[in-house]
Amino acid sequence: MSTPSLLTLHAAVSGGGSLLAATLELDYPNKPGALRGVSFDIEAGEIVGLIGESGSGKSSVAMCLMRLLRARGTRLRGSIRFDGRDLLASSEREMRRIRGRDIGLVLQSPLASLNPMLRVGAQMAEAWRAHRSTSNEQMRGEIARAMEMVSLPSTDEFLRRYPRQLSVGLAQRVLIAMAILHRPKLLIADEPTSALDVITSAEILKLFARLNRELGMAILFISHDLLSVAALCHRVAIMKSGELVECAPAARIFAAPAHPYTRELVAALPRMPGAPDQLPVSSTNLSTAIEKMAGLP
Amino acid sequence: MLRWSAVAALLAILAAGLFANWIAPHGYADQDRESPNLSPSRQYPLGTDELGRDRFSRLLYGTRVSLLLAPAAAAISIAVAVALGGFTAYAGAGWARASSLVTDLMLSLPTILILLTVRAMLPLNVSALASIVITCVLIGALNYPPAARVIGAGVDALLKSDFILQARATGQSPGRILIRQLMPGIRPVLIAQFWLLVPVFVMAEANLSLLGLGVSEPMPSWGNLLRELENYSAIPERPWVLAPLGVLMVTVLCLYAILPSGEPA
Amino acid sequence: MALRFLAKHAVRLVLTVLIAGLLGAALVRIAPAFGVSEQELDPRLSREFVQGQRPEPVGILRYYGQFLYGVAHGDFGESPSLQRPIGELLRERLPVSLENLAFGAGAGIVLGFLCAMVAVVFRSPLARAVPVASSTVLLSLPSAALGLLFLLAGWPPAMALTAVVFPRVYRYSAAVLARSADASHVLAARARGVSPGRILCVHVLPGAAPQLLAIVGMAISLGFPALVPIEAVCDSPGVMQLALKAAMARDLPLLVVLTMVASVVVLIGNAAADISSDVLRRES
Ligand SMILES: Nc1ncnc2c1ncn2[C@@H]1O[C@H](COP(=O)(O)OP(=O)(O)OP(=O)(O)O)[C@@H](O)[C@H]1O
Ligand SMILES: [Mg+2]
Repeated sequence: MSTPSLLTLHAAVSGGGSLLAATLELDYPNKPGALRGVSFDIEAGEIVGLIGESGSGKSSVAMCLMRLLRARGTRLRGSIRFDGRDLLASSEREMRRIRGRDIGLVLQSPLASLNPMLRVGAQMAEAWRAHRSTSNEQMRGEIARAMEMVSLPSTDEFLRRYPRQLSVGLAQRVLIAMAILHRPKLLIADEPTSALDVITSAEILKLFARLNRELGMAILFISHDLLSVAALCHRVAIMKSGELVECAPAARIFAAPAHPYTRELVAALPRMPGAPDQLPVSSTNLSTAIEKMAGLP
Repeated sequence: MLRWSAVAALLAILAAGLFANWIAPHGYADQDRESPNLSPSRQYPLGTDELGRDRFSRLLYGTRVSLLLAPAAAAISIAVAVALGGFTAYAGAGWARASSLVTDLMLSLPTILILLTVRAMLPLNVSALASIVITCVLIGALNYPPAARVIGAGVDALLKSDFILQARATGQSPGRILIRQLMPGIRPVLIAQFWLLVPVFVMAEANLSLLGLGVSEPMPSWGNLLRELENYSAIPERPWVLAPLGVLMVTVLCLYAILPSGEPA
Repeated sequence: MALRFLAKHAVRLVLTVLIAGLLGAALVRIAPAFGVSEQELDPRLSREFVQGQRPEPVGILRYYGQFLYGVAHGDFGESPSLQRPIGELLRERLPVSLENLAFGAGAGIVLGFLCAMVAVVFRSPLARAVPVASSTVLLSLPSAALGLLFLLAGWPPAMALTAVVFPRVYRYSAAVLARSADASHVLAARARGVSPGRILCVHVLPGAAPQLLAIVGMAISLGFPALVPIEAVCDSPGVMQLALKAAMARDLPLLVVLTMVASVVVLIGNAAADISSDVLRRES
């Protein structure tokens, strides 16, 4: 139990009933070993945070889970078990069914992830029709419900806007609304808050907590910000240059970081006034502070 | 890896052409009037043409002409492009506008027709060597505009770059900046353009010579050799007439395509 | 707005052709074998008059002015080598070349676009390898040789032009589509499970449309001059075959007119593509 690999291995084996269990080995043509033995699992209804510096391979994990990498020379090995299915053995057609319906993905850059030439309503409708063929009224109702859930107005005026008429925060909400349209069992959010200002980002964090609570959605929350992850997530996985160095409940990451890199990360956090010099803020202090900041219960 | 094999293969073919004097069993103009249109034999590996010349020897000499002519023409093109496109950015507004106007005009005119017009003005019955030089200079000089565009843009970008500004700020003379900063900076662009042009010019020479406006007989070149296509309607029965040339040509041009990126693009 | 646009392109076209013509006229004027043809080109001088008189030196500009005056009246002068009015030759042969261009380049463009789309939608190695291999081989054969091969096979010259245009269109459009398919919003659409057909039509093609139109223009401006060797070796009675004959016979007046005609076709192709792609860009 002392080394991280044993720890994660244990988690993967014991989590037979978990929603997602993945072990990933990824080579890009110009970067072999982009992911090396990254293995983790996610229980149904659980929020797992994935943390790491820029270029550590967080987005690559998300791409692998959805099998979205198809550039020539990109090689993905390992195993991805999701909801009793082996995703690596699935055909592209089966994967298409799963994408958007069983696993939702919110990509890293909100404005770039919307087609600049299509109105918001058209993109919403496309996301719905990709998996359902229902009457237009029913579709509109569902879209309105999803938009309400992310606190967006579902007025005609809003649906007729083009992406360039949206702020980054609004675009992010539109993307989240599209991702939860089909109530996926797992939502992967790739740095959903890093392009946002502090207040908007706190609102989005609150939104994820609510989605998790109300829809029972499992969430893989990718971020480079330890504070927001600690506030939101049940468990935190930490990545460094293509490897998963530690995966533990949020409280333990702060109280007893096992890996040197984790210790470094925790030590790099801003200190609360009045706290002793050498130590970072105690975990309880910190999480209450963060919860206040994020407005969580 | 692929790239180095391509380089090796190209060098081997080029060497075969360069040392044609020693490798070729016959001269390119040696006629054996007794035995025209022969099938391949020990004496004539690829048979003889209608004048009784050894096809294999002519292929070797033709390879030499075609493979040397194209890089020479490409060098001419790059030189003109640097003069017109590169200095444009360096020399200031008036000259820039004039030369870019000329380049624009050249770009919107069909090159082959200009080539025909200019070629028609020059004497047609010239010695073989003169025909090679004329072909080379014409192809090179008339096809400069695309390279001029790219090189001009490259120099422009360099001049606007921070490290040139830095050099200016430290008081270096324009000449020094040209030699120490600009030349090394633009060299990769020049080399890339050169390798783009060489295969294009191999084709251009072949087209011109096939039409009778390029390298003139008895000097062989790939274009001249291709003229046998016209004389033989029975190509399928005599594959040795053109198959070796076709294979050689496709091989060389594919190798050129691999060279710059190291990938069969 | 659109009108100003059209006007700009029209002006550019006319100017380029005029300058090209002037350069051509200058060439004719300084060419060594000029003495005779100049007088024959001049529509206002009768044949007897020419024969009765020693050729008088005429300035380039004046000569060009006379030439333009003739063109404005539908008179392109006379071809010294063929002893026929150039206008008549054009009327006879231009349709043949335009037909070759329409069918040959059209088929090449359609084929190239289709292959590029298939390669982008189905990223299977096979969908890439076949067009890449065939276009590499086609790119390695000079167009004159392609023309001869097609002639031997008994296929029409337009198909040789297809073989010239296809590989280039395929190369460029595959690159353009691949870049457009790399956009973040295309990845996002794939992550939502949108079908490949819809991704191509709704997300990839509209973004690439302006560049694809530019490729159409390129195909035309590249295809028309490529007809010179093809028509010559296939013995297709078009204007481009005439160009080669004129070059061989050192018939400069004819060559100059043909160069201008070819530039007009090339420029119209480019301008049409420019205009429509600009309009598209404006709309999006
Ligand atoms: N399509 C690709 N082809 C080649 N290399 C890639 C590709 N995508 C990512 N990489 C490389 O893989 C590594 C991991 O990239 P990734 O985008 O997963 O990092 P990240 O942790 O998400 O970083 P960031 O915080 O900047 O988003 C980087 O070094 C990157 O350069
Ligand atoms: Mg990322």
